[in-house]
Amino acid sequence: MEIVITFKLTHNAMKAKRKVLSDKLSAEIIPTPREISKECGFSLLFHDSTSEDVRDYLDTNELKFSKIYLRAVVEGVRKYEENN
Amino acid sequence: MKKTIDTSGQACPKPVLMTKDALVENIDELVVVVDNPAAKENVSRFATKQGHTIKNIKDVGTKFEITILKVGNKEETEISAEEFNCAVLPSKGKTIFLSKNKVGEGDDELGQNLMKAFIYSLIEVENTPSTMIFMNSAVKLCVEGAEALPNLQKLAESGVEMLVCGTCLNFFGIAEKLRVGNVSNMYDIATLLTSENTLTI
Repeated sequence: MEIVITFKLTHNAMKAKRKVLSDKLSAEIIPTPREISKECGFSLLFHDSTSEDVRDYLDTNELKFSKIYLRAVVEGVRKYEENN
Repeated sequence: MKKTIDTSGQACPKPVLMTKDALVENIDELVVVVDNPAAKENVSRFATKQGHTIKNIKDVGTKFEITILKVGNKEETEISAEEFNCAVLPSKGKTIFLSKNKVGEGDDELGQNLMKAFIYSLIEVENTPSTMIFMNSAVKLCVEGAEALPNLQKLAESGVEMLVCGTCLNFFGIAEKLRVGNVSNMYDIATLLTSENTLTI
């Protein structure tokens, strides 16, 4: 499953990105999807994971983040679901 | 004898070439259907230049029907594609010129992340570029191990032409690590930059 993480601060997004890069995880920085927020920002996209695994990873590594979203394509349209 | 040809969907200069071939036949009136204003201009101009008369041009929905009255049997003339304004194609995308592997100045890490995000967004936006040109440090985006590489490869697969400066690859010692696009030279790049609609990031 695709998981998208949003951040309040750009610095936190970049710090998280450095960590996933050094841990060689399948994740990349993407522009924050417009469906989630009209504001400019970096989000982190995990290509194939679960919200639990991603939450664990971020918490374990003390990476501050804002929200976790599940991303899926439903009937040809990309949908985002917030995970609490 | 009257003939009708339909040039819909044909890219410039095909409509003119099709008109040219049809006019050589034993007909006295030719109706040419075109689907864009540039082809309408080019076909009309060609017919007039060959000495024929444009009887009328009709708007039919989103297309145009050009009725040409053939005047005499002219000798076949060579046409060069440069004579026709083939660049004026409404659907052609931009050329994006990247001269560094980051966006803006101020903080390199931020700049590189912005570049990565920008390339990612190109995959998703409507106005996909038709060409991307990479020079100086931008060539580093195209080599093995580059974070942006998978997304650039996706763009290339969807038809975006990628031109990468050979001199620059050579300078950075990464020529054999190129994994997307074609090596190009200053002449090809300059020709493209001065004739296309270009965006510099």
